[in-house]
Amino acid sequence: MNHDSDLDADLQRVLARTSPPDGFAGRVLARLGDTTPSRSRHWPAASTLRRLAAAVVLTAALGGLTAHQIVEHRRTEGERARREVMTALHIASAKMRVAQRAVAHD
Amino acid sequence: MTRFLISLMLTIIASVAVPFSASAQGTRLNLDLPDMAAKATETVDVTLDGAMLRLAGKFLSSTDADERAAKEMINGLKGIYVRSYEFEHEGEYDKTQAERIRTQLGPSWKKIVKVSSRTKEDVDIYVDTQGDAVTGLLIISAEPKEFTVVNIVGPVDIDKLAGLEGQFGIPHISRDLKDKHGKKETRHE
Repeated sequence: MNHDSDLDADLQRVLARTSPPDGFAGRVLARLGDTTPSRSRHWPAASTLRRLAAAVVLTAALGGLTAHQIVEHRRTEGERARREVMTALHIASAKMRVAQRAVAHD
Repeated sequence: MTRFLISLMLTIIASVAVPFSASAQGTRLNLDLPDMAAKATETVDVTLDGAMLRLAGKFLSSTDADERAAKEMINGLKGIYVRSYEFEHEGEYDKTQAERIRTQLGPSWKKIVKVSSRTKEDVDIYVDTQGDAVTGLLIISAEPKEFTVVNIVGPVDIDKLAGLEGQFGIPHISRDLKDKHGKKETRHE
């Protein structure tokens, strides 16, 4: 009987409601406050993300434009070279024929 | 002493090998005649090195007969250079300026045709040879109001080049004569 009453007393003491130490709530809130900036370090601000996206789009557009200009320049050069080959061979061939005709006449 | 002998041997080898390789690849001649260019009313200036010829080859059609013939002709060539000057009046240019080009011709160059005409067109044709192979061509044409010079560098098929005229929409003389006289005339073929 005496043993039971000791147990009850122990339980009441252990499970009794106690107030937190002074400044506990403040310290918890302070720790929560500390975690907010660390989260922002992992996730850039929306404005930074917008700038990054704009830079990627601009780079892609400039790259595409440059590639197009290179292809266009190559095509223009190729067409010019084709015309010049035809002109040069036409002239050379005509002169060869003049010589052939003269030799054949002799 | 050994080092001196090695450098001497290398110098001798280089002096023999460089002209040989230059000749084997054909020779590009300096065709620029600034005095003529200044007086000419019309100028044709074509400068096509090996890279430009390869680029042109990609743009020449394989279906068009003229372009197909041109494509075959430029295959393997290392350069085509043309200068043609047209003048307003006869005798407006100095024919002796052609000597500036002729003096560049080395011993591997041979004159194969010389056509002289008092009133029409003088044509000189030279070929650069390496053994039996033609590795270059020079055409100098002097008309009363026109001067033309053509330098082709690389293995040139002369017969094929002469045959291109008919290929380029200009009728062959032999074909004309055949049509005119109703019989085959073979003197130009």
